[in-house]
Formats: sequence, structure tokens, C-alpha cells
Amino acid sequence: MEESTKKKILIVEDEMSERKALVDKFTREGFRVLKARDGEEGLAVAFKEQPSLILLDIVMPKMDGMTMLKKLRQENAWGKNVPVIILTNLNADNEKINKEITDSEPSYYLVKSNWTISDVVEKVRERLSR
Amino acid sequence: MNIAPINKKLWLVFFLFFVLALTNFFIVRYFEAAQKTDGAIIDAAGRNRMLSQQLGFYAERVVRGNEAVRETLKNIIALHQVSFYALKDGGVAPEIAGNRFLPPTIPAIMLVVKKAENLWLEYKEHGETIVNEPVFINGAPNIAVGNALDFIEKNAPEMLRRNNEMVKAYVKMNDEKQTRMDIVLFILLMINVAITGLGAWFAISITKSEELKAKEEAFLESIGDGLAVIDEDGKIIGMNKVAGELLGITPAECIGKRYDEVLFAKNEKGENISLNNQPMQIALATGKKISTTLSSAITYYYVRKDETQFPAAITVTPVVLNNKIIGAIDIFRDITKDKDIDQTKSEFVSLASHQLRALPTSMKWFLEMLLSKEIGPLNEKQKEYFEEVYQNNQRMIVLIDMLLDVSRIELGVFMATPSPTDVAGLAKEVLKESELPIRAKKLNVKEVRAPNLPLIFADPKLLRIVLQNIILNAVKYTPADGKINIEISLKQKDENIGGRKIGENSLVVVVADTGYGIPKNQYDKIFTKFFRADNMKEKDQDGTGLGLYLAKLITNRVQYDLWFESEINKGTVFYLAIPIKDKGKKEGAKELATEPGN
Repeated sequence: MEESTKKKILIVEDEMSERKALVDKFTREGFRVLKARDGEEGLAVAFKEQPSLILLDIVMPKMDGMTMLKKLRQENAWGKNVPVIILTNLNADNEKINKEITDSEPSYYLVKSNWTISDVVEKVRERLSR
Repeated sequence: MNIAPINKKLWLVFFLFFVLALTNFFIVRYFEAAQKTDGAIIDAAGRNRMLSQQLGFYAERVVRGNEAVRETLKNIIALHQVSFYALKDGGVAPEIAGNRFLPPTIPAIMLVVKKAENLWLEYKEHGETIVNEPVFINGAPNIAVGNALDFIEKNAPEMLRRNNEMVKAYVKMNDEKQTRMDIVLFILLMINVAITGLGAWFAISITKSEELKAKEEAFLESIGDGLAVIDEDGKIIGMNKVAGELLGITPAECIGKRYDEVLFAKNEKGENISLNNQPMQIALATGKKISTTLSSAITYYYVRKDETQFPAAITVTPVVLNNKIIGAIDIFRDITKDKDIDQTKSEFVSLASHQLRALPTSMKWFLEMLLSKEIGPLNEKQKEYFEEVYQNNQRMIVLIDMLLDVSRIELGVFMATPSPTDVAGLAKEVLKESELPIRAKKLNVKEVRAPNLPLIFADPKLLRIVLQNIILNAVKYTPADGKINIEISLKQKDENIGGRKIGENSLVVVVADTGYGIPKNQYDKIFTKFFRADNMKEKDQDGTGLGLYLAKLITNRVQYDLWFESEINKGTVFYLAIPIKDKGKKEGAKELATEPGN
């Protein structure tokens, strides 16, 4: 696949090991992968590179995922509409998080440990094909 | 403990004693007076007896020519006359008992007195003749005087006898009176003994009850929590030292004030709670006990004198006497520290859930990529070993998830948020998650659901965990080619199912398998933490010993019923009964206050 036609995705994840697994996998699956270690960096890269989709962790230093998502949605039209998949280890039973996610469509919520990495790739492809 | 009203009954005892003493004084004084009068009567009667004899003596001397005693005779007659009528009709007998007034003679002895009177009047007449007439008339003895003296001398013994009778009659009368008085005095003495005894008993019992009260107060004072007592009007009538310390006020300052002046509850935001919703008011108005703890949905705050406030765990209990609410007791303590610890615990669980999960997750992903051979080919042994590692990693994920669920529910950070839930749909989803092992073991799974099942008001997340555990158990502990039946139906109150009577109208989920069964001697342990049935430890190494504990924990919390029937090597049936009613939010559970990173 040509570098220019490759889909660009951004992975925002503070855990080095998880980030590496995701970056390696998505690269092999033919994506152009951008990465960031926290919400601040993620926000900067996102606006600069404007990826087709963002994979976002919640618990991170400096700026957490929910704050980054809020800022992303508020900033401009692109930020408002870019699809975001939240990949987290927090349980989805937290009302507050659920509400914020519903408030900031289009977003999806995945609990990492419940998903295989191939499933995550599938989910991303499915979302991008729409 | 400061108590407002003091017992005044002891004063009543003192007053009673005083009245008794006064009564005694007057009665004795009356008796004393009566005795003096009696003595005076006897004295007067005795003197008259003597006077009548002297009359004879002096009359003779006058007649013999002793003119000097004529006046004496006259006086004797006059004194006798006055004394006699004082005795008979009531009056003063001169010089007797200090001119004491004598009462009239009682009719009973009037006859004796009249007899003496009759003779006396003649005696007196002759005596007066001697007093008034000259002894000689023209040198010859006065015949009238001679006759008078004759009469007096002749009748002197009779006069004495009649006087004696009179004295005796008076003595007898007085003796009888004395006997009556003795009876009265005896009765008085008895009354004295009775009243003194009663009073003493009363005083002792009051002292005892005061002592008991003092003891009770000491007990109350020793309670480590704050304690305040109000009466039916909401006035504070008692408060212990600890309460004072908590509120930064002395208990004495609070007595007599209305509770809302010192024990006014506010909410978490520091806003006033309306008077009708004050716990004390509710207790007084409804007779209900209001109790809050650290994990209650509502926390009351009390305000100190310096206007700072503190969260309090309270128990307000109405005091009921003869079916009437006569007040309320508030026991409270400061739970600021408990709240801080609780917060720390919640934060810890949240943090742990994130950190603990991250590690096996990345391992899972790396292993998955290795096993999918996208990195390169693996030899058979490598593949086998990596699969082993992958399986163990999966177990670790399950174990961590369960431990977190358990701790979240135990800590009460899981908030049950009921919504209309399709239980059968949920069961179907859960079943789908176990598709793989079901297919691998060729289990025959049958689902029977009653038509027109309503949506049930329940928390889907919690209900899902319960269903997951009982359905997963059936799948796990049923050998290959076995059967699993899942039946969902409505049961009315008092209907029998699974060896029990349904307590209220419920939706019942029955999960029956043809598995290994549970040994009878382990029935009572099946829902305990980390328990694994003896016959399963070998067959299934995956079990965490947490699944059924978690299911039971949840059902207890949300007040569902979960029980089972089992037979070794035949199978086990689990029953889950979900009451059909709107329970609202489960008290005791609360939202995880802050998740780090939100």
C-alpha cells in the first residue's frame, strides 16, 4: 500500500508496552500510525496531523483522555467529527464517564482486557469504512 | 449527663412528717388540757366534801359563841355554793387549778350530783340561818339557831356520804374518759408508726431510684458517642459530655433549647434541610427510627458552635411510652475520618483496577500476535508453550476482574442503577459469551422463556454478573454431551419452586445442568469467598472461588434470592428470583466519588 493512501490513525496511550503492541500491530495491518504518550501530546499531534481516527486511553499523566476528548470536540469542526475509540481498563459502570462519552459522539468505548488486538483492529476498520 | 427537672418527691415526705408532728402536738396538748380539767373536777368535788365538813365544825363554834368565825362560816358556804354549781352546770370553781373552767356534769352522774344538791340546799339554808341569826335573843338561846345546828349535826354523816359518792362518780367518769383517751392515743401511736414507716419506705425508694437514675446517667455519660435527648416538643432535656464536645458547646447551655438551635442537620453541600425532613422531626412525627452510617445514601452534617460542620453518623430513635411518642434520642458521632478513609479506599480500588489490568492486557496482545504467526512461524513446542502462557494470562485477567468486582461491591462503590431490563435478553447475551466452550463440549443448551415476560426494574450490570456466574458455572461443571436448561418465568407470591416458597411476586431464572453436582456436606460453603468444591478442584483448575460469592454478594445487596438444589453426578439447579417491584436506587451503594483521571 502506498504511504499516501494509508489510513492515518493516532494512538494516545501512556503505557509503553500497550502502546508498542498497538503501534506494531496497526503498522503491520497497513496503517500509518501516529503515537502520543499523554493527552497534551495527543491533542497537539491530532490537530497537526488530523488522523482519520484516534485510539484514546483514559488514565494518563498530564492530561487524561476525557479532558483531551472534550478539548478535541470543542476546538474545531474536524475535532468535532473525528471518530474516537476509547480504549481503557476502567469499567464502563462509571456513570460520569458514560455520560461524557455519550456527550461527545462519535466515540466508542472498549475495555482493553475484554478485546483481542485483532478485534481492536477490526473495530477500527469497521469504523473507518463507514 | 445534664438532666433538667429534679425529683421533688422527697419534699413531700418531709412535709408529711411535719404535718404528723404538728398533729401529735395538738392531740397531746388537748389530752393534757383534758387531764388538767379532770384533775380540777376531782379537786373541786374533794374540796366541797371538805367544805361541807368545815361548815358543821364552824357552825358549832359560832353557836357556842365564837363570833370570830361567823365570817369564816359565811365564806365557806359561799365557796361551796359557787363550786358546787360550777361542777354541776359548768363554770369556774374559785382557786381550783388556776380558776380553770369546768365543764357541766355529764347526765350519767347527774343523779348522784342532784342527791348531794338536795341535801346541800337544806344544809346551806341552815348554815345561813346560823350565819345570819344571833345566837341569843334577849339573853335566851335562839331556838332557830339551835334547830339549824341540830339539823347540820344530824345530817353531817349523810352529807359526807353523798359527797363521797359524788367524788367517786367523778373519779369513775374520769377513769372511763382516760380509758377512751388511751385508746385514742394508741391509735395515734399506730398512725405515727404507719406514717413514719411509709415515709421512710418512700424516702428510701426515692433515694434508690435517684441512685439508679444517677447510675443510668453515669452509663449514658460513658457512651463514647454523642447523645442528646429531646422531649415531644423538641426541647433538649438531656445531653452528654461527648455530644457537647462534638458540637463545641457545653451540655448545660443546650438544656431547654429546641433541638434545631444546636442539632440542626444540614446536607453535604451545607444547605439547610427543611424542618420537616430533620431526622429528629421525622422521629417525633412518624415514630420511625432514622439511622445513617458511612455508607448511607444520605449523610447529615451537624454544625458546631463555631459554625464549622462535620459529617455525622446518627441514630435517632423515638421514645415511646404507652403508645405515645414522648421524645427522641439522638446518638451521633463524627465520621470525618471514616469518610476520608472511605474516599482513599475508593480511589485505591479505582487505581488498582486500572494498573492491575494494564499488565496482562499488553501481554495478551503480544502473545496474540505471536500466536497468529504474523511475526513469523513458531515451531510446535513454541506454539504449545505460548498457548499455555496465553491461557494463564487469560485466567489472570478473569481473576483480576473478579477481585475488582468483589472489592467494588464490598466497598459499596458499585452504584445500583435500576432500569427496565430484559432479563431473558441478558441471559441470551451471557450464553453467547460461552459459545466456544459450549460447542467444544457439545453441550445441549435449551432456553425456555414464558411468553409475555415483562421488563424488570433491575440493574443490568449487576444482574449480568449474577447470570454470568451461574450460567458459566453450569457450562464449566457439566461434562461433555451434557444438558443445560435455562428457564425464565413469572412466579406468584407463595408459589413453590426449588424447595422454597417465593416471598413475593418474582421473575425466576432457573439454570439446570446435568453436571457433577455439589457434595452435600459443602452446601453451606458454596457461596463463601474462595471456596471450591472438593470434587471440582481436580476437574477444573480455572475456578477462582469467587464467582458464586460475587453472585451472592450482589443478590444480597439488591435483595434478590439465589439458591440451589444439587445431586452428585446428576446435576445442579440454580434459582434466581428477582422481585417485581420498583426498588429505586439501592441504599448503601454510592457512586465512586472520583476516578483518578476522569
